[in-house]
Amino acid sequence: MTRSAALLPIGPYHPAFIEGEFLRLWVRGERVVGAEIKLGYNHRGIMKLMEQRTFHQNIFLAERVCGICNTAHAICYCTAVERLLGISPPHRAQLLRILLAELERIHSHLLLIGLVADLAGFRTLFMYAWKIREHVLDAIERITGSRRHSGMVTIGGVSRPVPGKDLASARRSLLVLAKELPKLLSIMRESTTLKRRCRGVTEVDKQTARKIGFVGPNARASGLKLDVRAAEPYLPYAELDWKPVLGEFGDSFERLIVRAREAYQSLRTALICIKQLLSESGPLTVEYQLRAGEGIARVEAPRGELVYYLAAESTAHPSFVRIRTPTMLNLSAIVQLLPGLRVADVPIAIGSIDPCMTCCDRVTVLSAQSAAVLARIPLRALTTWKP
Amino acid sequence: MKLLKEILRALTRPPVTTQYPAKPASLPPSFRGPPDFDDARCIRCFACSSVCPTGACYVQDISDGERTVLIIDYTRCISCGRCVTICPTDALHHTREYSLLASRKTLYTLSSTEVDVRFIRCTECNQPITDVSHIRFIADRLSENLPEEVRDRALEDFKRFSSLCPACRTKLARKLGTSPEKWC
Ligand code: SF4
Ligand code: SF4
Repeated sequence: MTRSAALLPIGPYHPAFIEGEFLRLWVRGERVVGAEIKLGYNHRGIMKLMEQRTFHQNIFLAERVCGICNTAHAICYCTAVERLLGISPPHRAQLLRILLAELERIHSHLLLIGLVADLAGFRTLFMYAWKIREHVLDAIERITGSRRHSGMVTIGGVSRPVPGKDLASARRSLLVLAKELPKLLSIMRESTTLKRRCRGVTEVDKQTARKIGFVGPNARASGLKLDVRAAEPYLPYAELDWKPVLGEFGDSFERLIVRAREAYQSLRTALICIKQLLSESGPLTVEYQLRAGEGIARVEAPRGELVYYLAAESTAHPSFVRIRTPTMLNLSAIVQLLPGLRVADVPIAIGSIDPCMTCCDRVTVLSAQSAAVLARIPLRALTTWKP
Repeated sequence: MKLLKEILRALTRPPVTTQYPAKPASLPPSFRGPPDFDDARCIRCFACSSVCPTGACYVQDISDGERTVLIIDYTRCISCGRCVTICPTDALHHTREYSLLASRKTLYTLSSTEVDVRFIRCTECNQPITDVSHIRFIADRLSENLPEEVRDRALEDFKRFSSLCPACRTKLARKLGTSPEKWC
């Protein structure tokens, strides 16, 4: 099939890419007939680095895996450590974690809506989405002291108390956003530009979405009820009157709409959360003692299921860390859907899954002479691996 | 239609951009700027340098256990606030500095005045142990927190043990047959 087709290499470093990845498209005329994506250009070795730092230092390292969904990483890491240690954070800390996670989800979804609008050439929507995103960033800044990378989540709870005054002023910014979000949704639904660029691109039904391995909002856009918050509640979402948002068409446009709806629902959850936090008090952390064991945690990051696994041998350092980010799954799924598209639709298709390439990067060992892949080795074996 | 309204509104009402350097940024109350320290309060306990996730703050020995400086390297600091939380004497605090611009790289390193660490040396093997003020701080804390009946005895033991380096301390403890249970 790919024999007679022309190869269109994009990347690894390309002005259109924010992060380095190598996309190879086989095209016949305007049609894509084959696609392959190659990662490894941005591998930062974070998992290995984590094994050399103490449990507490790793929280900040985990946060820096991703610039956009850093709270999800911190929560996932801390939940894994808490399971390893057999502790559970106090209720108030759990509520604060929900608040931070949901605010982050709003910001991440708005960011993506803006990006895809930009890819589709609809710059006004891009500006608008990013403008209203400032309100949620203001709220996060009020609560944590910084726009991103809050450093709030810690092992056994939350590291800093949040004064009621700050919560109240965050609530005011969120109420402004509550007026803007429905507007955004109706602009998206009415916009012919966006619809004509995104409707029907990489449409997948429920079964296919499950089969190719979509997670997060991409799976939910196809009507697949796949949400860790519902399946394995790691935080008390049930108290906050929360339900997963489901779409039905499963195309690129629906993925954006599901994200906008989810942002609105997260906003609702965050407001309920603030109300509860204002009315109750309690401790923020629990005491703990390090011990040997292993912990695994799944968390619903804005992009889907995020998994942390770690093992420890009663030292101050974890002995083994494994991270699986949602983009790993989403990206391998979308690559299967690319054949059949027009070349111009490829950016939209890839953009619509909200890829975060660097977070999911893996390492491959290549031969320096022939550039042939010598081994795809698990990181655990990397220390002892010899060429 | 809705978007048209938004565009018109943005035309009449100026966007969020502000005149940045002229108009300072408004910072939230809990803003964490890069940390600064109060030299006089620091007891050289090294707590901050052992918890810092990036190795941005550290105590540097500049003349073989005679003088040390506490250094914060702002090019590495991620303003995580861990050192501020851990410092036992509140010597560290966050600044409200948000614009870290400097013309030379050396300006990004904040170092304390060189302090003669009045290092206590081990009475047995002459190894430097730690600063006098650190020992004093621990002694003060002990006398504050220990119950009346054991205080004097404990402080006396503390004096004896704190003049030894960890290795010699272990040796002495073995010789005396001290175990933590003795104090429970
Ligand atoms: S704020 Fe964090 S990174 Fe900066 S010096 Fe303190 S512990 Fe290190
Ligand atoms: S933790 Fe505080 S007292 Fe200890 S060395 Fe650092 S600044 Fe000094």
